[in-house]
Amino acid sequence: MRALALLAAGLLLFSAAAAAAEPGFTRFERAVGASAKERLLAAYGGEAQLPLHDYLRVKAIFDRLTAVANSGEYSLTILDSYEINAFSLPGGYIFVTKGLLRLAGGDDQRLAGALAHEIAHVVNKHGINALLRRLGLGVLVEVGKHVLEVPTTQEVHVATQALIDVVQSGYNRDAELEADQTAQQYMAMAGFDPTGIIHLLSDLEELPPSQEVGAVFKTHPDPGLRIEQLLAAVGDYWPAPQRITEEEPAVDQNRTDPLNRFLIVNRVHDGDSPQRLYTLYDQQNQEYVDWLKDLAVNDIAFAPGGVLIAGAVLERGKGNIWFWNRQGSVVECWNMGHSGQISGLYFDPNGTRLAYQVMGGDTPEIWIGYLGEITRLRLSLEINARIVRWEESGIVLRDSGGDYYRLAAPKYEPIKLSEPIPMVIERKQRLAPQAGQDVLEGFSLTAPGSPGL
Amino acid sequence: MELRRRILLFLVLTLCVSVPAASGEEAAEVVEARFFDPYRLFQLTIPSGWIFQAGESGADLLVFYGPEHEQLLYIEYFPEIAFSDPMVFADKVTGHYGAEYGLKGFQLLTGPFPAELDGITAAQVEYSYLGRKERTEYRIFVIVDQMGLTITFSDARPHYAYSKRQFDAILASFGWEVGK
Repeated sequence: MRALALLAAGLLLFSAAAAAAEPGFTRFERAVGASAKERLLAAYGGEAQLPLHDYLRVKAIFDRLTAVANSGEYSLTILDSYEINAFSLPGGYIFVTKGLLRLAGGDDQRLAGALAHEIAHVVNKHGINALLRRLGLGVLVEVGKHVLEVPTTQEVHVATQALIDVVQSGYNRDAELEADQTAQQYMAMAGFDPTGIIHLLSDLEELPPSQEVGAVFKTHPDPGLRIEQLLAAVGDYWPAPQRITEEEPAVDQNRTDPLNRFLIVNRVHDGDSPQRLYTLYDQQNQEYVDWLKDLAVNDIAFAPGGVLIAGAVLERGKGNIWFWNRQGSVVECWNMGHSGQISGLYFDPNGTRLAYQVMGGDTPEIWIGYLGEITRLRLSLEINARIVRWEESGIVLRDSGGDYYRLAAPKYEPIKLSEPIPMVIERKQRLAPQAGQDVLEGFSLTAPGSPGL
Repeated sequence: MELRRRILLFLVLTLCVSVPAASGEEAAEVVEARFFDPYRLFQLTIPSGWIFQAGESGADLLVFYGPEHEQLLYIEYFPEIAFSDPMVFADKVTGHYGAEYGLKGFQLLTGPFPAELDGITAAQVEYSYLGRKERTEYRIFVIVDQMGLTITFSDARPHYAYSKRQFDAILASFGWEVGK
């Protein structure tokens, strides 16, 4: 009875204290987070010194994300380790390794995905809750007492070790999936593309087994499951289409070769199929291209600039999209296996995404695919409409009644450093010219007639 | 790549018409090349032994290696810069360099001070930091026609004082190609 009373008192204290401390972090979170940070820094080789530009870019992404998260004070640490990993500690301490930065490459969206996921763990109190579970409910009483006070060194010491165990073993499946969902929200709110986290997880899945990846990142839970959940949600970040006054476009976008060599032509085909099939006529060689001759292609679109050619290919009744270069080599295949015919291929103005429609039932499904990535997202529209074109302001649709709608694509704001930061460079070791001395296979660096400096 | 070719072409052409100086006391004055920058903003004299590094240069960066020690000259362009005062530019930049996330071991040695570069207002600063070695740099900030420019001379710290004379000689040869 007494234990129950104590537990209840502890929970009440903790809840009250946590509520009082909102929207920032409790002193206990800060204290235990700061203590664990020092231990983890030592374990991961300390803090990395990134080139100034790289650091400022990472920091700009981080700042944009923390600005839309809750108002706690966050800190970002780049760990000097090539293990691919990222984690967070209670109190707003976020870590990413150099290995993860390398994996994300120059893609701000991927990096934003990793950072947003870790920020989400902090906001959702996954760390502190897991720590309290590990410490045991009885400790809540003491913790609750100290939340508004400075915890003792002994309490912090005990909690730190437990917290490190939590971080290294990972949060539970539900916490990870919740952090993914929150991360997508933060990314969208902060002007990033919520697909970035999907593409990062996809990269992780494709890493060779020899690659050193943080156990937490790789196994909790399976990246495939996370990708599936994220893909299902990402279409929600597209706003509903708005009705517009529109004229039928005079020129069908993406249907004219920007380099003026190929013509899309109707293809004469055998059989009684009602489907229209297309091929390309090569005006330079004055012949039909042979790389489409054995394929049933329902639609063809030229990417902006004409570098790529997309085709809706029907294979054994399944709709897929292939991409060719101008020499006719297949450079990308989206083998989606849609049961309906695919048509209405339209590239976005940057040529990085392709909108298409799948004819299944009465209503065409509108899909968006990312070139070079795994993302194909289906947009949930409440109108029965087909794609007309994709312009800067969004995708234009036309419904069966002849009314037009604009589906505004979410805006992604690129990272721009607010102030120019001149580079600081050092001489590379390979060339160290010394006057009067021959280097690099006999090339003299001494000017003729010069005694050298 | 096109720009790089242009830069190399400039260098080749300017080297072809280089004029040996009368005095032979200083090697730097024996064979020198007049360098015209690809934006046609300025020209300066590159002394003998200083070599343009095409592999490290880019559209907005020119890099030269000097003949001794760790001597380095690099010029960076900032098109459409938001500042108009080079002192503000220099203040902001040294602020970043000296910040917690900035250059390791950053020490401001002199400046930022107002300066003049061939008749145009500039700012100058000297600092050291810990790279692979401890380095000292002398950087000039200037803004002309909304183009920010930093001209940086750099050497390993023990050799900096010696190299500074060469840096000053190069800077003294600087001349604007655009209206002052």
